Amino acid sequence: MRPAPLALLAALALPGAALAAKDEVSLEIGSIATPDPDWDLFSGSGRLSTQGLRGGWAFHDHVALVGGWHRGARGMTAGGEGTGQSDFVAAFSAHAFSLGAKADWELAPWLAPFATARAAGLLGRVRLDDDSEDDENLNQLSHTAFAPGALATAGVELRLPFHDGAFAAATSLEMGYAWFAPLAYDELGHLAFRGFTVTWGVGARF
Amino acid sequence: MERRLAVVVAVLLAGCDPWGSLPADGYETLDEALWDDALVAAADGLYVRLPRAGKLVRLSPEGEVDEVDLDGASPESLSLAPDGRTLVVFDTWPVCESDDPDVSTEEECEEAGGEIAWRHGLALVRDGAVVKETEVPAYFNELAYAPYVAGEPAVAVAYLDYAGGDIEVTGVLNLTEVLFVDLSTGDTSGMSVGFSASNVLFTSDGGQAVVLSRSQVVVVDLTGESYETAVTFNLTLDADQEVDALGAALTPDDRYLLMSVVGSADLYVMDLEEEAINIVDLAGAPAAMAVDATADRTVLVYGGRAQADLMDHDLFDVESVDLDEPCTALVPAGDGVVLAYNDSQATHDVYRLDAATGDVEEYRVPNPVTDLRVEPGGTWAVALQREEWTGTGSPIDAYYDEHWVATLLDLASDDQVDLLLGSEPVGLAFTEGDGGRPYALLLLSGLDALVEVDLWNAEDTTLELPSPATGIGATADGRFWIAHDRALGLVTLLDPEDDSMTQVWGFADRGLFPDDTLPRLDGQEE
Repeated sequence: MRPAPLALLAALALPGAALAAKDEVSLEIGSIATPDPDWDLFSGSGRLSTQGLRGGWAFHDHVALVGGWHRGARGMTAGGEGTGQSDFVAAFSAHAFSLGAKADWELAPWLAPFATARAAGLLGRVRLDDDSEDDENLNQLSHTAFAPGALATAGVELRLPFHDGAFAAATSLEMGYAWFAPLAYDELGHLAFRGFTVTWGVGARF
Repeated sequence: MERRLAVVVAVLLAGCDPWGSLPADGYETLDEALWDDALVAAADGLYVRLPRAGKLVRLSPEGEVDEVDLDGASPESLSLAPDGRTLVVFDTWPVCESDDPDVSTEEECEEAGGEIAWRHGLALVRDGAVVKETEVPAYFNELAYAPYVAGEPAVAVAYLDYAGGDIEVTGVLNLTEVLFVDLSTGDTSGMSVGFSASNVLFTSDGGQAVVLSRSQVVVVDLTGESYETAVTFNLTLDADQEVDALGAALTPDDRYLLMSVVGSADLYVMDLEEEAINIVDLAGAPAAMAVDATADRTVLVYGGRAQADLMDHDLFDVESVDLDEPCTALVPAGDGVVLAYNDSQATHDVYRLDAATGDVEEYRVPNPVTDLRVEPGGTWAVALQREEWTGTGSPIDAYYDEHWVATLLDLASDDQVDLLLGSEPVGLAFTEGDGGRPYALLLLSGLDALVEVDLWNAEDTTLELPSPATGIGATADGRFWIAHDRALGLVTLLDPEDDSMTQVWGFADRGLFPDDTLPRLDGQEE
């Protein structure tokens, strides 16, 4: 949580820096970590891979309002010979929304480190099915929960300017910490996402 | 502006939902099943254990699902008391043995250097709620119930049925103890009754409990304010000799206890009134014993001898009846009739024994019998038989050998009908149709249908089920429950009056995400 506000203040305090912030749109992939052992039901990786997009509006020389939507889904077949029962598919899909500030500093026309601080929300849906080949199976169960959270990240952006800098292709890599309150599924229990997050994106700056 | 719009549209299209179906990229092996299909049918509904979640749920007759609050304990086993409305639950819960008072989860316990220990309880559940729970030693795993007499205190005895394996020992373990449970109040009291109690019987009025243990039988009076030993029978005077009960039964007048012994042809006859022991010499160690109240005689069969013995309860004289094949199992059919078969060898005989006269009727069935049930009216029996691979006989014999078989036995006319089954039977129940017409309800492995067999004419009809079933049983309201092989829980309630079905599903996902919170922090060990 701490690095992002500090980076923002630092960027605002640098009057000699070139105008850096631009409107932006990006297509992104990334992941959010979860330390929750119950996540093993959906994935053995300890993280939720996500894909999505981010847009930003530069309202200040160094600061932009950024918002994003990402989605991830993982699932596995669960069961066990020792249990004496048939298998079932457990799938988790989530929409992650974020909105916050991004501060950057254009060290060169092609290089701009940045930091973000965003409020976030996670809409997680658990789907269970013990006969996935039968569309009319009674046990096609679904549970949805929402959890608020926050993201703090720092990263670097590489730009390829066109038309005298009015338009640029860009790619960025950022890492940080994501924290979400536990997703509370009444009957199922809780599932928590928090920990390291990483995102890579490609897009345009204009 | 157009350029900006094109970029935004392209990104939005790329962000469309790429998951049309459930992702399933791997396999997670679960240690325990989500639900236990050995349902317990009480007056207020079906109780189902959820082993992985450590929960207990009740399926009401209307199909609603309620969770029973066990205060964080996990149900280990369930049984129904004879009153039909009291569920007795052996449960367990973790506690942290640590000096740190702030520990609230198992992880915190380990971080604080503590150890997780497990406590065990016996809970009484009525109408979906715990009415009393008592902490008990870990090793009790069996319950014997006194007969239910309306208005009288109901009693159960908890004891260890040791079948090998580890028993958790914390402190001192007293394997000579059994636990008497007052099912009305939940109060318990322990009593030492001899080493390793193996069986508990009750007199028909529930006034006395007879506890069988190694080389000793203890009769406990249950009618007083406190349970007290009435009689102790020592079965040997030689401390080096061990006498372990194999089978036991009380005579219909509750006066005599008959007890066969492992590896011995001696039958102990204990007079509970005169406090005397008599030993009857039998032809060998009996494999099974059944007391018939109508004939007031006891039927005994032997695994190594093709004979049945009929013993009266006055002078304990034995009348032997020759059979063609040895038998190891007896099934009382009522009115002085006992059925005998062999459940351990590849024999093909089922016998109908008249316990009063000694008359024998032999039924020859195609394959070895694995189970034999008598319908409530006592007129029909169904013998389930496994496949066998003899490689001999005629082609039709070989065809039978390759299949499971259900033989319908008419105990009145001695007719029989052999029905070939497409797969292994996994459930059998009986019901009665119009005019008292009896039906056998048969579930076959992998078949998503219930087979109804009219026992009068051996005609069968099938009722389609939503998926293959794993078990069947009767409910308190005259319906049948059918458990299905569905991981997330599926039970069908069948009304035999009109063959209507109600499904209850999806109850086994409760507690899918268990946490490690210690449920009973007040009970932490310091």
